[in-house]
Amino acid sequence: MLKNKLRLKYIKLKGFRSFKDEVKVDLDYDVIVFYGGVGAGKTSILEAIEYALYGTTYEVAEIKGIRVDDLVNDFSDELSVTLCLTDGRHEYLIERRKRKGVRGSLKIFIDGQEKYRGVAAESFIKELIGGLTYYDFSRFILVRKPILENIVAHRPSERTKALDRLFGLTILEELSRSKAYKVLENRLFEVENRLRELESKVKIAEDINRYITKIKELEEKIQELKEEKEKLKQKQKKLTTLIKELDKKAIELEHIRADKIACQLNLDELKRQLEREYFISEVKIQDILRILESIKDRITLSLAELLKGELLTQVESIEISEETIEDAINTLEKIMLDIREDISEEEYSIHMLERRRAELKLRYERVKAECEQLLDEYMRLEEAKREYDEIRKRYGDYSQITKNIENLQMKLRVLERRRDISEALLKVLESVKEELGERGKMACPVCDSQLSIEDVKKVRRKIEQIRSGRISGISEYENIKARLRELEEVRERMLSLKRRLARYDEVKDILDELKKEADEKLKEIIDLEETISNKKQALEAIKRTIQDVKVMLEKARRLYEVYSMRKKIEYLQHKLYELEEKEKEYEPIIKEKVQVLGELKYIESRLSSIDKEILSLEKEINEIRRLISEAKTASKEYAILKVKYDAIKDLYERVMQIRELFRRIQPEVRERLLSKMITELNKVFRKIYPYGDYIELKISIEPSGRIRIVGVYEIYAKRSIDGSLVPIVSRLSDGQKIIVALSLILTVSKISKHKLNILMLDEPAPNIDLSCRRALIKMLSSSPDMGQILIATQSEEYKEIVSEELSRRGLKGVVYRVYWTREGSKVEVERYVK
Amino acid sequence: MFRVEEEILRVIKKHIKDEKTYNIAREILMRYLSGKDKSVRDYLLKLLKEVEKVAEEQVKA
Repeated sequence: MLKNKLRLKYIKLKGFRSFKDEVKVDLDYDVIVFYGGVGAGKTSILEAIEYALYGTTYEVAEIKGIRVDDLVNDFSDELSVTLCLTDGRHEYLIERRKRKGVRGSLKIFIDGQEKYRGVAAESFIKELIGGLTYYDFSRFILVRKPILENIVAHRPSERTKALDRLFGLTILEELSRSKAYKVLENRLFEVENRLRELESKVKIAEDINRYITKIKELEEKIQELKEEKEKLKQKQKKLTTLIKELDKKAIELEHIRADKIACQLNLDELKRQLEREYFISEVKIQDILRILESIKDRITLSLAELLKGELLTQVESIEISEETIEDAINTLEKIMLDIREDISEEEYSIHMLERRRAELKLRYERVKAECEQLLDEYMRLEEAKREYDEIRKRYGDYSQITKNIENLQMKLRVLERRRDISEALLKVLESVKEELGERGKMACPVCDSQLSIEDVKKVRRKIEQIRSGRISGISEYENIKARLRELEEVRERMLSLKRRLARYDEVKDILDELKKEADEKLKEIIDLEETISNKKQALEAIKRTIQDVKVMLEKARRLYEVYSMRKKIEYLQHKLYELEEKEKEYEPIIKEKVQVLGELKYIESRLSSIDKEILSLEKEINEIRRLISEAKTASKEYAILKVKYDAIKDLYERVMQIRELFRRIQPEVRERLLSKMITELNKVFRKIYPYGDYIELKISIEPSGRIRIVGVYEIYAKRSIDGSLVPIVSRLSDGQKIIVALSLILTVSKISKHKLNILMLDEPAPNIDLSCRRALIKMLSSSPDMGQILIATQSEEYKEIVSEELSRRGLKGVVYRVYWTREGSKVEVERYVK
Repeated sequence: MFRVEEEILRVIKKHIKDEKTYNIAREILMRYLSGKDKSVRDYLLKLLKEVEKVAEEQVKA
């Protein structure tokens, strides 16, 4: 290990690219090979180192659309990369974390102690790796396959571009083409335009007195217009007062004209109406008065009975004269209307009487029917009464019959008892007779005396006696029973009749009342019919009278109307004449009003035009003032801008000079670099190329085609056989060319100021054969100051090559197998080489 | 041991005698190395502001 050079110890990565779970990779070896299939995560490990050091990767920095967030594993929210380095004295731990959508964090630990964070940590890394920029790192530390191929590409332009990139000279091309200078150009253009805009305003400021004079002139003109406006306003006031008076008179005239028209119309209408009454030649007021007097008399005489007191008084109080003729007609017409109402009332009362008559008739019929019905019942009751009286006559009163029944019932009970005793006695005697007949003697069952056979005769007699008495008793009993039955039936019948006869008096009373009512109703009906007949006759007479009066009143009215119309026509003709005279008086006023109105209109239009003129002049003044104000401001701004413009132009010219220089010095810088590195390049080349066919390299800049000004690189190899220089692109094999390219990269890395002593190769020379690969590893491991070499490859052959070459030179190496699983990429040791 | 930017600056120095211009060239180069176009643009804007401020003060004076 070289003094002060850094060496990788290990790296831990989690959630980075294809690595989901945390993976720790030990890097403390001279040669580290990451072997695995496509997409296994080999390159991701190399990029993790790049990310740990710079917080970015080649893809993020160079390809548009790829962001740091895209480095986070698709199934993780956060990535973390921890890189451990050592310089032999201390151990440095760089820890970067990044959450999607959130700014990343950076921490530096030195010998296990946290020392720096954020910006300070970034500065520390820069210092730690000896100022090695990301640009440098991508040039000669992490070497991707295209870089190697392009350095020895056949096309001169590609080759030149790759070499310029390796030497760090593309910066000159980029700087000469940078768009950053646009800010100066734009600002200069802005200021230039603004100055041009201001120039016209500045001219106004120079000629300011002329504008001030113009303002004064305009102000004087405004003053003149205001004075004229004042005079016109005074005149307008006077004329307005005059026009108000004229307006009043005009309104009066309008009224006169309206009256005239109305008068004329009335006159025409009256004349037309009069024409219709052409047959009434002459009307005398005395005729009308006579008719009215006659009407009054007729009403007073003929309708006195009908008219109510008040109405009659009204008729009598009517005054009939020439002056009151219209009132008299109106009053009579009104009275006629009242009389018609009275007639209607009378007709109604007759109607009501007829209705009453109908009701009475109906009631009478009903009473009559009820009478007939009751009469039948009464007849039946009369018959029952006769029967009842006969029964009483024959059997006595109800109580007497009841008493007789009770006596007979008692007699029957005595006879029944007597019969029972006889029966019992007969039985006793029969038994005594039998016993005596059998035994000849016995004790009397009644008195216990001794009876003998001689007593049998007595017993037989006695039995005979009892039997004959019993026969006569039965006959009596039957008679009494028959008599009792008869009496009970009679009593029953009597009770029934008595019950029926209870309604007898009631029916008799009702019948009497109904008969009385029927007689009354009949009488009332006859009276009503007479009344109705009388009323109807009277009403007919009144109606005839009213009809006559009506005709007379109409005639009087018509005569009076004609009389009135003629009077009115005379009046209207007179009025019309008067109105025409008045109208003639007003005609000059109208002419005067028209004249005044014309004058007023002129004043108004003039006032309006004065206002507009004043407004326009004021606007003009304001515009001039605004221009003057703007010109003053513009003058100030112009003065400042002019100085600014000169300063910016000076700056712009300087920067343009620099820009041009960046483009121009490219060949000179190339020459300087080549001269500085050629000796070192040949040293490296001879060290890593152990064959003797080519012993030296030479790089020259030659003019070529379109890029003749800056030229193209041509790499030559000196052939040992004849000492001639041959172009490597056409003469050397692919493997040899890769060795030349690597020699160049190693040389640049070696002579550049930095402390990161590592080389990372991503898929170096995949198209070369086994011997070339062997030569490559041999070359890399043969250099004692090479530091650490990291190779990411798909080729299995490297495993063997690395083992053989390292063990031969006593170097430490490791082969890691990188593979993909569903839980993300994994790394495991395939082989250690000691 | 060398750095390419140092070599470039040496050549620029040879061509630009004016120190002010040289300083601007050096600053542009260094800024481009640290942050490409954006840094250069920021630097030029800063320069512009300074130049304009100086011009304003000059006029006021």
